[in-house]
Amino acid sequence: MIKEILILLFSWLVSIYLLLKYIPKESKRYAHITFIFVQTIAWIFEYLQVLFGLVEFPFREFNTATKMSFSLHYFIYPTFVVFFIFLYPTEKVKLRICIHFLIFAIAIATYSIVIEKYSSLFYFKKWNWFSSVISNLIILYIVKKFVFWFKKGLV
Amino acid sequence: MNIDRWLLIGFSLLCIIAIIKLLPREKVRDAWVLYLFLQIITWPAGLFAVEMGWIEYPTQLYPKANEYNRTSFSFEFFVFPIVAIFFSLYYPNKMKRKNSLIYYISFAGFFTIVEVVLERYTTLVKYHEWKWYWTLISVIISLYLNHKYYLWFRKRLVKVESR
Repeated sequence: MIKEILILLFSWLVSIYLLLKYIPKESKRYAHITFIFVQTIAWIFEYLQVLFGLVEFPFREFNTATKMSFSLHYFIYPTFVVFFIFLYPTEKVKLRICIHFLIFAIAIATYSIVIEKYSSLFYFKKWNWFSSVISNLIILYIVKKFVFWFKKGLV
Repeated sequence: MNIDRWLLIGFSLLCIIAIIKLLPREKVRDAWVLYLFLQIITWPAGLFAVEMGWIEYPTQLYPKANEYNRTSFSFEFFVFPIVAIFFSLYYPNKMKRKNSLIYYISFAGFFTIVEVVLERYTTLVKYHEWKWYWTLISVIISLYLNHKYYLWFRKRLVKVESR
C-alpha cells in the first residue's frame, strides 16, 4: 500500500511540476480547457473499462465509493494529454503528426503497463499494452478535435 | 422499470431540452467551460461524501451502476453542471451585493428543495449524515467557484462566426 501511495504522490508531484514549469502563462486557458476536457473523457473511458470488466483498480483512493481509480484519471492522464496538445507539431506533415500521436499513445500505455506490473494500482483483466495504445490513439484524436475547435474562440 | 428511474430520465431529458432551447449559439464555448470546470469540484467532493457514508444514491440511471461507482452520475455529471451553465450565463452582472446573494440562494435553494423532496419520496438519494443545508451550502460554494473561474476564463474568449 505504501508503494501505491508513493507512486501516486510521485506522479502528482511530477505532473504539477511539469505543468507549472512548461506551460506558458499566456496559454493558461488553452491548457485548462484541454485538462478539464480530458478529465471528462478519461472518466467516461475508465467507467466503460470497469463496466465491461476489462481492467480493475485493486488499490483505490476512494475504496468504497467507487471501483475506479481517482488520481490516474483526474490528474495524471490529463497532464499527459496537455503536453500532447502543447507539443503538437505546427508543420502539417502527415508523417510527423502520426509519429506525434504514436509517441504519446505509447508513452501513456507504457506508463500504465509499468504501474500494472509493479503495483496494484492497475490490474489488466482483458487488457494489454496494444489495446491501450489503440484506445489512447482514439482518445487523443477526440481531444485534439475538440481543443482545436475550441481554440478558434480563444485569444 | 421502476418509477424513480423514469424520473431520472425525465430530468436528463429536461436538461437536454434546456441546452438546445435556451443556450445561445455564440455562447457554446462559455457553456463548455462552465460544464467542464464544475466537475473539478463535484468529482472529488462527491466521492468523498459517499466514501464517508454521508449520502447514497440507491437508484441510478444505469441499473447496475452502484456496483461500479456509487456517486451519482446523473447529478454530478449532468444535472448540476447544466444548472451551473444557466446560473452563470444568466447571471445579472450589474447586481448589488444583496441581490446577488438572493440570486445564489434561489438557485441553490431550488436545487436543495428538489433534492429534499426526492430524498423523502424516492430512492434516488438517501441522506445518512447528510443534512439539507449541507446541500445548500455546498451548491452555493460550487456555483461561486465555478462562476469566478468562468469570469476569469471569459476575458480571453472571443466571438467567432463559424461554430
